[in-house]
Amino acid sequence: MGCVMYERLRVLRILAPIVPIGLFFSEHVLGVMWVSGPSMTPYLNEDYEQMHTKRDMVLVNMWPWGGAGWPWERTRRLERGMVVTFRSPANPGHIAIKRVVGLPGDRITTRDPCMKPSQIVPFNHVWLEGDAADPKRSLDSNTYGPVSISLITGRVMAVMYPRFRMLKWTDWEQGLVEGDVERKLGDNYRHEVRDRVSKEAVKLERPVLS
Amino acid sequence: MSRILRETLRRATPGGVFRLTLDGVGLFCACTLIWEHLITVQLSEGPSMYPTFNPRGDYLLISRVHKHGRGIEVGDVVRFYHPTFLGVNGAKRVIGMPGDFVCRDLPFSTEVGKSQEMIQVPEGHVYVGGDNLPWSRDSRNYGPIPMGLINGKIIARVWPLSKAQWVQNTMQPAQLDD
Repeated sequence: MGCVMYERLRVLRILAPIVPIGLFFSEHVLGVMWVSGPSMTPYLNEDYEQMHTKRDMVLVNMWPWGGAGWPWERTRRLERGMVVTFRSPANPGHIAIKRVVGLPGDRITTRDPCMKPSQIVPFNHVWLEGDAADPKRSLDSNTYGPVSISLITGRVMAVMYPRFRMLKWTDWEQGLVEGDVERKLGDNYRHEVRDRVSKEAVKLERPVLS
Repeated sequence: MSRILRETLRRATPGGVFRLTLDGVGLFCACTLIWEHLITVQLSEGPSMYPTFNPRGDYLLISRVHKHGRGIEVGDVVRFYHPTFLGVNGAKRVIGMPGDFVCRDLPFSTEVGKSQEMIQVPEGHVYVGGDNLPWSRDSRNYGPIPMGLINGKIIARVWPLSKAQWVQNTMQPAQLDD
């Protein structure tokens, strides 16, 4: 009896460090998230029209890639075409997922709900948009403006379910869609979004931090 | 001395080393999680919150439970990721909550409410201001900040010990006698 107790305690003692390591890993290294809503259709949640409740499971890289490599740093290399997760500026309790369309210094010709006809992305901000063709389906930078890079939490690396595929941000500029071999989405995917971006329209200088 | 050495050598089996490493990594992760989700102690910097905090720096106790604006009220001093500088934290007092109307004063002005422009703080944002108006860069410069940038509420000054005290919420409803 006492022996069984002791054995159990020993197993617990060995397993105890696993819990904080796992939490740390899911918060700072690789996280799994579920995408809901039509804003990234047809890139993610491809079958939203048929199945509104079906959600894609994605793998998110939470490590601050591109910096010196400490988990508490927030330096990230961001490029146009990366699909990122970030805390929604409109609702702080919600993690949103959108595509980086414009980098600091780009001039964006905005689309529908936006009140300004064009917008220059300021220092340390990015322009995020959903892939949905219908502007009403996506709550993005056209509603709340450029998003501070400090709000970004991770980059979507891969879709794990229902159809596994790795996502490569470099394919955005070429209009390719990963895993879309038969070109169901057309040869030049979402070129109208890229056409609205004039890259590095202004040269931004780092503002002084006094 | 030799007894300790012998003990150490006896434990230096592959299994023992593995368990020690696992414990060390687990302890590091646990400390990081506590530091990021419960409590942080940090040295402040800059004149923007004078006289509440010393411009030369005070050690502040920050409650990370209040991150992302959870349970924040008008008058709380919050710490947030700076919206335009990566990896820089700011500490300011919350002036307006989502939906409130605030007067948009000119940057670095010493007057309060002299500008004729009122704005409504958007959904999910807060309007923040430093206590030392002419020396503070706050929402008067960069506008309301998203609540998602807030990463804690400053609850106390812990060092120097002679000045250790809770941070007061100075914006209380007025008590009027008639």
